Amino acid sequence: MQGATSPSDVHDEGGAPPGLSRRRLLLNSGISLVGLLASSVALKSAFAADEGASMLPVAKDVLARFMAFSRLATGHDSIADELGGRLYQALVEQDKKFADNLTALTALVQAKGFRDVESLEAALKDNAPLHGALMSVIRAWYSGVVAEGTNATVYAFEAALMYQPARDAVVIPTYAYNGPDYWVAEPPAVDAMPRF
Amino acid sequence: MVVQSLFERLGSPKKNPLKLAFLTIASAVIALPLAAAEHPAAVSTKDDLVSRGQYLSVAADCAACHTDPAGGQPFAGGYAIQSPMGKIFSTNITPSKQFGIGNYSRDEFAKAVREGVRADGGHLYPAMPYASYSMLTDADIDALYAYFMKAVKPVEKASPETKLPFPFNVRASMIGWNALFLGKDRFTADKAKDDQWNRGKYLVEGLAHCAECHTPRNALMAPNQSAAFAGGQVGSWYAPNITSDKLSGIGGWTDEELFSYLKTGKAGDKSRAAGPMAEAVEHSFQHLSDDDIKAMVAYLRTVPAIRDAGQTEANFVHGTAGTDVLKLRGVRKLTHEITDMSDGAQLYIAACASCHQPDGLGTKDKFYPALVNNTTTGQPNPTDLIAAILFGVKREVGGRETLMPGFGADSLVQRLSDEQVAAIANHVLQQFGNKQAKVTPADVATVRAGGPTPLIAWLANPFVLGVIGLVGLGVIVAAFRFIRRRKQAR
Repeated sequence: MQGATSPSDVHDEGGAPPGLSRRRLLLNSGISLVGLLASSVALKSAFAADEGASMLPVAKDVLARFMAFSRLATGHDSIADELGGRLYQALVEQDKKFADNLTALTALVQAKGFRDVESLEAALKDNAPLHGALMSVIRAWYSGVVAEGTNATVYAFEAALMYQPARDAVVIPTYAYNGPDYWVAEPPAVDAMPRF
Repeated sequence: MVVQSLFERLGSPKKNPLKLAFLTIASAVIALPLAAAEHPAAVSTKDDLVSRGQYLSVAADCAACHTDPAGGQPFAGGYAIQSPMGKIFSTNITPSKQFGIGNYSRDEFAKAVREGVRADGGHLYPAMPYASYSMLTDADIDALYAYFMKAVKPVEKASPETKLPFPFNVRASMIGWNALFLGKDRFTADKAKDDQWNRGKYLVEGLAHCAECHTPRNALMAPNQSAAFAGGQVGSWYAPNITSDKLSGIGGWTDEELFSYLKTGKAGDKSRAAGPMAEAVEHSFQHLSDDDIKAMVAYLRTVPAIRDAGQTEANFVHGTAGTDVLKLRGVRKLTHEITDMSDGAQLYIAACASCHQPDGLGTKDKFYPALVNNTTTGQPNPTDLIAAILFGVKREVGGRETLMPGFGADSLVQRLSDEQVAAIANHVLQQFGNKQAKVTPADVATVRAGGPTPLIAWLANPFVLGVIGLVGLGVIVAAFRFIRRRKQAR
């Protein structure tokens, strides 16, 4: 669309407009070119950092706090730091107050010594903001999604906690469970919950 | 039992001579077919020879080349063997008198199988593994001859003529090759070793012609005996080192793993047969007796160990479970095509993880194998990894098919570029396999094109041949002038 200049346009711009010398024009375009290049490089490196994602974007102590709280909130110990960092970032981006709420929640857990999420949840009945933050953490780990709607980013799919209780028997969509005709075999007993 | 109950019903024969006569005839009539059913092998020695010949033809895997896998009739030939020198068409070896070997005498048959010479005196190319078959005993040649003449249905159809470019079209050149590389000795048992070892040697070195692929070839495309079974290039694939070396070869495999690999194409977590080896398992080894497979294992155990240069770890101890999916899920918007994807880890998640799983550990039942501790990803030479990605894996054992789709040009699931295949291979090697192995897009292109060109095939390229000719001519002219000048100087 930018290239949709008609020949007459080009012709019109052929001569430098009054007040804009050739030197000035060159200088300006040079500066804008450098600017463009710099911004594209910056964009690229930002994208590369996101793609590579070898370095966690969240500070170590913040991540440790989020993970400790997540273990209490979900009741599971085997949740991964790699995913936690990304979920934390998404939660902060979604709700500017999330970081503060998390600090308040961890302080509360420390002060009252809650051993499980049920007792914590009961204590938050009248505190809508903190209750909401707790729920958003649980939801993120279980569904692997943070935002609402059909365009939401999926951060975890096969690693989402909601799939784990039936993981020993039910195929996770798009991932092979076993070889062909695996469903013919006797499924594992229902009372044996897989460890996750 | 039937006879006995008859006796009981009719009472004691001693009392009635007529009864006795009847019973004698009756028991003879009943007992004869019973005995025949219990010992089918004893029916006729001629059929025994034929069935032994059939078994030998399976062990020698004649059908691998002489039956066209694309719907060809048994042993009617016409299958194009992709040699570095060009296409070699397998011949019709049915007993058709016009198009096959119907007019071959037993000795002419023996000469073709063991010496690579047709009845009309023409020489076979060593695509026919006659250098291995030269070991076959006279008795086995008799059995094979009986099978092909009596039990194979003649197919009245000519197989296409092999037309290799100059100089390989000169079949007489094989006389020189044979003089250099063809053993004349038939198999003789080593009295110092037991029967199992001797049977294993006969199978491995002779009938099953393992060395044709697993022993590297020298400049004249003959097996390099000083590196016997140390691994060789076979078109797009690499036949790995199967010496007894604990790191590079099969020395670290258990007997059960080796047996299972030959019989089913699966060796625990260590390896899966693919490419030409999958064909060998499918067409030949799965049909061999357990004793013969055990004999091959016993012999392979004693093949002198050869270690690949610089290797310090076994091929099956590499890699760790992957966690990239936790970092990469959702980073990129989903699209129908992944043609613009270039990152190896992302490509792995998009194209490989649905079967091999995001962590690379495969499925629980091992139908989709783990890429960790797998010799295909762990061996220093990554050729088989590239070939598996490009061409997939296919083998049918015990009536059940194992299939990995290929991602090459003919892919029905996803076509990947050389760059993408290299990116996936490097990611797999880094995460699940041998970190020292590296793959470039050029390597992928080479495998895609059917493997590296051996020096001899390269030299025979008309252009190269022309240049060599010109240089040679130049040298002759220069030498001639030099001699003339010296003569003039005197």
